[in-house]
Amino acid sequence: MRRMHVQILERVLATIPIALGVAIAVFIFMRLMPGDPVDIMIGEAGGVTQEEITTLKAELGLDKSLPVQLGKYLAGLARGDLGYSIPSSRPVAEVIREALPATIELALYSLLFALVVAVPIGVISALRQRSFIDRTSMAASFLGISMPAFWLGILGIIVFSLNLGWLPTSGRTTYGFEPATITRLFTVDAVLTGNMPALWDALKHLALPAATLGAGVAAVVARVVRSSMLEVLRADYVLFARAKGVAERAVTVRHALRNALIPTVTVVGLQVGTLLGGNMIVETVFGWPGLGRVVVDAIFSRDYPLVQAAVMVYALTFVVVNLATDVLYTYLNPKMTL
Amino acid sequence: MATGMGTQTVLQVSGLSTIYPTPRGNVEAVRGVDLALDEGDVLAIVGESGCGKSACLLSIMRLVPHPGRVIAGSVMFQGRDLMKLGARDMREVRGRDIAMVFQDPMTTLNPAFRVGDQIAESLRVHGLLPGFPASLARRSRAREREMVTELMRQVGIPSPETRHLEYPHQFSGGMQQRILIAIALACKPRVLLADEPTTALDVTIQAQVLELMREINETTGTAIVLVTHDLAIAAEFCREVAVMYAGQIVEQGPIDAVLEDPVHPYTRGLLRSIPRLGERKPLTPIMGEVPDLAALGPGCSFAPRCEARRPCCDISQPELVAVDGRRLVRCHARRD
Repeated sequence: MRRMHVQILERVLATIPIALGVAIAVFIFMRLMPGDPVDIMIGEAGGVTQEEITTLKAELGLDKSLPVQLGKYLAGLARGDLGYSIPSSRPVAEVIREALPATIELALYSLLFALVVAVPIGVISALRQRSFIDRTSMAASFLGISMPAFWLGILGIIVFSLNLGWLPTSGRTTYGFEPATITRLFTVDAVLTGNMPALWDALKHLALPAATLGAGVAAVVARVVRSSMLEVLRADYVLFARAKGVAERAVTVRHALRNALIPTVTVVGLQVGTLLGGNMIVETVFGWPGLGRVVVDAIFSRDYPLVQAAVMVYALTFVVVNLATDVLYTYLNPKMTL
Repeated sequence: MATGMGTQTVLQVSGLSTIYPTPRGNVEAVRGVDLALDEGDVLAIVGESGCGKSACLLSIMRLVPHPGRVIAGSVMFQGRDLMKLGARDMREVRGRDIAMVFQDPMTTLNPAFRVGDQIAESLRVHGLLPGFPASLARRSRAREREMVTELMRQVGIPSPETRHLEYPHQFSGGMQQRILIAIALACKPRVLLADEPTTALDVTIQAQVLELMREINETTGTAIVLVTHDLAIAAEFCREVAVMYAGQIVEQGPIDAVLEDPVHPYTRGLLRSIPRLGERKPLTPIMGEVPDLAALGPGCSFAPRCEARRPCCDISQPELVAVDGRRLVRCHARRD
């Protein structure tokens, strides 16, 4: 096990070049987009002289050559200085710190939703292959894969919010129901402070966006669980477990599912990318005050420092999730080492 | 082996028939098999691949994979017909009274669990160790380790105190097969069904595993049904042999009699196709192919390949009848 710690450390160190690559790539891509932050601000304000534009650009350092800008940016990164958001002049780190918990909470509940729905469906479909349940759920999962998140989200709002009136249409909480700030994950804070009305309110707000964001993941995971269960159920060790006298439920869960989860974990890890990428759309549809919406706004206003930092957060999250996936993988599959 | 154990029949199989439905029709994998296994006895079932030997064992255990199913016959064990037991009662028989060992230990052990846990599971499902959550208590954990290492020691795995924590892939094929046997023996079963237990192993390891099974048979009196395609192993290991062809037993009797003086043309062909050390003459294979079990004709299923074929062989099925008082043969062309 000590060896595993060393390997994890190696992987963490290996993220440094990845982070550097991401930083440079985002820097370049942002500058490839037409228009810079000053152009956008002027477009909104109007009636600005050329002199003022030049001064503003000089203030923001946009008059320097690209390599110089990049150098300053990277030097800042190395010091942990993410710079200031251009339109609001607020520190980027602060903007991200405020928005990130909402995104993390949404992603966690989406993942939870996806797993709670997908794993049982995948298992039952495999156990009753070609049955009505199997065909229906696989058709539904095909739909889940093909349906774009914004469409599913709008559909959910129309049905559950507007027609049935069960769930709120947007936001994280109803005004006045915010729990005390501890972790900034509202459901966790509500539980920690024993604030049940706030918990219920937060969960109601989470339901639609989490289901929307999780649907695509659930669809993919259900299919993977089903196909790997089908394979595993034919394995000799499953037959042998039955020959030992193990009860059918234990055969399914302990012997078969445990092995079927090995390929599933890899897929779930990769799907976290979908949760991050998809959240820009879902957060916009549901007015969710998270990082996704911040990034979308920042891109429109060419807020270079904020976009660069936010993408960096996405990239590092992806790296961390993949590392966690690999660790879990070695735990599930004793034949593997990191 | 284990003579003097008394000759009480422990397992009585009668008229066992199993089919696998396929789009082409029902594959009749096992067709009316009768077997009687005495206490402490060792019986070999031999035959080529696809003759229904493994299906026969799975049928006895009622573990024929879906959509296959047993359509007729009874398996009497301790006064009960296993074919009529409820699912729960049958589960109690499996592993506790009748245990099974499979061909490929590499794929038969669950790759995700430590071997010690897999051995302990056998004991746990049959109540010889407490189940969850009592299994977490320090005393039951100690007891579990003790029982598991003892079983591993019995089947000849060196340093079980440390190795019970290892995973299947950390063992060699022979050691894996020993672990399978340890799992099968955990509950001291009356009957062990061994489906080609040595086929996946090197020859030297084969001998060790067979020796281990013989030892178990002699010390515990566990009766063994050994399925194999290797007549040499049957000769080495068993007193009684049943030769299967196309789902039926075609010849059955004491191993010496069958090997020295085979009556059924298929048995004779089988013996002729075994290479012998020191002989340089070419082998005589059995011509033709195994018949399609989904489209069997009315006659003897071996007739198309048979050297002693008679006109009646294509018309009617021969019955299994006693020949020279000691054995059974299913052939129209037999000498009486």
